[in-house]
Amino acid sequence: MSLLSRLGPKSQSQGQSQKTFKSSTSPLGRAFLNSDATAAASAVALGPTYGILGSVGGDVDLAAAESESEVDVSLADLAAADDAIDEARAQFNAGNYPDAFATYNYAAQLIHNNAASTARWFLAALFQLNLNLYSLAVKGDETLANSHQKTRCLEEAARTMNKAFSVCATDRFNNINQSRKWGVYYICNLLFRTYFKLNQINLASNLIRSFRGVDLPDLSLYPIAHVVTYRYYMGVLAFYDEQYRKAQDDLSFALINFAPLTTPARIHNRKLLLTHLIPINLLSGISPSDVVYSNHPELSDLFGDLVNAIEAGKLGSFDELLQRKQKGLIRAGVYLTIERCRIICFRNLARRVFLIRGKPTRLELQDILTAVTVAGCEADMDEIECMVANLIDKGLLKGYISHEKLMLVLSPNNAFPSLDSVPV
Amino acid sequence: MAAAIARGEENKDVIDWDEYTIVGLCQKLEKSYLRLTSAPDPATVRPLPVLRKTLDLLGQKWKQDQNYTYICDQFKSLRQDLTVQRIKNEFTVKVYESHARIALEKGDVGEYNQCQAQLKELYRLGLPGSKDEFLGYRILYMVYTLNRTEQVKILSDLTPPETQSPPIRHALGVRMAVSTGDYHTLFQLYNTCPYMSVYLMDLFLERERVKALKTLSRAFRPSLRVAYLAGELGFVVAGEEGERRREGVLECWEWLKGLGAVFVPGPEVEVEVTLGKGKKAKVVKRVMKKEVGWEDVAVDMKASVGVFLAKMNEVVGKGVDIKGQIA
Repeated sequence: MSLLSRLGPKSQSQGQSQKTFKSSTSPLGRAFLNSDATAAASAVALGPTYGILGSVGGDVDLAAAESESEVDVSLADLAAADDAIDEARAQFNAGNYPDAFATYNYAAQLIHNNAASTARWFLAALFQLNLNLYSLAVKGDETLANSHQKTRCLEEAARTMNKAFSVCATDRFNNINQSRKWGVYYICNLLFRTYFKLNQINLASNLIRSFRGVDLPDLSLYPIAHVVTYRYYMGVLAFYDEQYRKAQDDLSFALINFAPLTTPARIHNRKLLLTHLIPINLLSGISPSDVVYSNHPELSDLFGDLVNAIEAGKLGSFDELLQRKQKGLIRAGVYLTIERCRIICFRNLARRVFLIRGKPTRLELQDILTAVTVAGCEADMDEIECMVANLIDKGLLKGYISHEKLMLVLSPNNAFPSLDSVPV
Repeated sequence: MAAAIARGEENKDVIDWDEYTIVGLCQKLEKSYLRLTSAPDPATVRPLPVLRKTLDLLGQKWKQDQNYTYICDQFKSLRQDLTVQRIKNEFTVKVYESHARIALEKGDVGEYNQCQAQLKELYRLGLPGSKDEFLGYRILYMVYTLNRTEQVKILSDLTPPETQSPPIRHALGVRMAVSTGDYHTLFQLYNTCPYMSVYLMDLFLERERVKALKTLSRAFRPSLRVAYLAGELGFVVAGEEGERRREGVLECWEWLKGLGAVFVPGPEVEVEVTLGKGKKAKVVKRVMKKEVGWEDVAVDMKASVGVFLAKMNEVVGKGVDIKGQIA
């Protein structure tokens, strides 16, 4: 059924003849009527559009078949949206970001409300629309903050984007090849980005919960860019939840499948990824390679010396560095995880003592106390016993302590299991 | 407001001017708390000068009677009178701080949280008070609730002078000790608590003791004396001697018994026992386990591991009950 023949009563009552419809409707209206992806995308653009059309999915015929939906479209709404976008462009060019955002947001809401009739062809425009919304919101909030006003744009944007998410997720009519469901992860990623920026990470879990009950194609079928970004965010969320193994899985996948570092944006994103992956890998005894540092010098600044201290078991240096770099590590969101690496540092120190003594089955705790003191850390025997007890409890050391003899009795095999074999 | 300024009035005690702000008329110092369902009658609201006297009176009464129900009731009505008159000043801070400390002492976490939430706001307005003390409490509370996100937030907002302040340094030490499993430092800090922080640490004391015990039981063989455990788990203060030490060890012993710990039996001794009386008396040799004294009694670590592990799963699995917490 052609969309044209199912126009709502409102437009028909305006008394315009069908023949003049296609030429007199607004850009968005025309795009909707013709299921024209390119036209829709340029209708919502703020400036020159590039790259977006490619992200929808290579093998999809963008000038796709008409929607199977029985839902009506309000051309009046779309015309209003077009006008609003024009106004937003003007405000944007004049540097009036808060108003540009508000106007564009209004347009976005109108478009979302009429999107139920669209199909996969519409996704390029939907992505562009919401991405522009995000950028305008960020700029708008910047302006508001600079003039000491309450920053409200990004929160508003999040609400509008949530509608975009439902538009994608609840596509009941189209067959799977034409479905809007192929947009779900892109919008989801944009929402994650927004929630992180708003520092409202708890909202991310609400979003994830709303995935359940939606019948989606398998993640692996989506464009790799969407998948990598999604797994990055899932990795960071798992990281904050202290589910380090899951975080390691997600982030490692994202790293392996990361696009070549050809743009500044990509370099920045990969740096963010690595910032979270490095501490987790340290807990498994994996250190960053030199390539990482040469690609991202800031990571060398942040982690370089800490990694050296941990590998060498330099407990004193570790403590001092942790203290000195606390603010930077907190800003990067990884302080608590690096704190957890202290036990790894101590494990490496204890292992050195073990090696120096020729891999014996019995080690005097006094030796470890001496080593800790040499490493620049003040401690007494009680503290050493506590730290060694923690090593054993966490499976980093196989053996037991004899308190009477102040001796560590070690398992003859594998007393210091390799770090990646120990559950984090 | 413009009219008031024109009249040359400037009441420094009231931040938010409003023509309709009530000024109380009641002169009675004590007042029981009644939840408001409509606009308050100025005749029942005490003005600031009266409220100041009320606070002094409550301080005395608390010292004398230690009646928490009465005190809490009085404080709530005191807070209410401040709220309806929109009084936000140093005195307001003092009121909330006093109520918070009393609530902590009595373990009333819900009331403490309400006061803490108000204090956070009042400090943010720039009002003076015992900010460091209460920031220390906030940090300890986050340790109790294991709220990582809040911990990081507080850490990131700390200024260098704050990190040097004793109550905050103490609380930060506790936070790190709990985070890294350093039970040794944790219980030393427990015994050097500033202000009322010991009451906050009491909230998670049991949980951390059980965690420590589990770690100890996995690492130490064959056994550990209760006297040693008492020191490591904070029942005994380092360096304590004599009767206080004995009491601490006994308390630890009772606690361990309550958990179901398995103790190392005393040595077997042969004892001569007299059975019967008079002509029928017989002397028999019996083997008995000698009772072990408090200084020597030890926990069989290997045998107790299962018990402690189960207890830990129970304690950690229960989760944390957030009482009356507002943000």
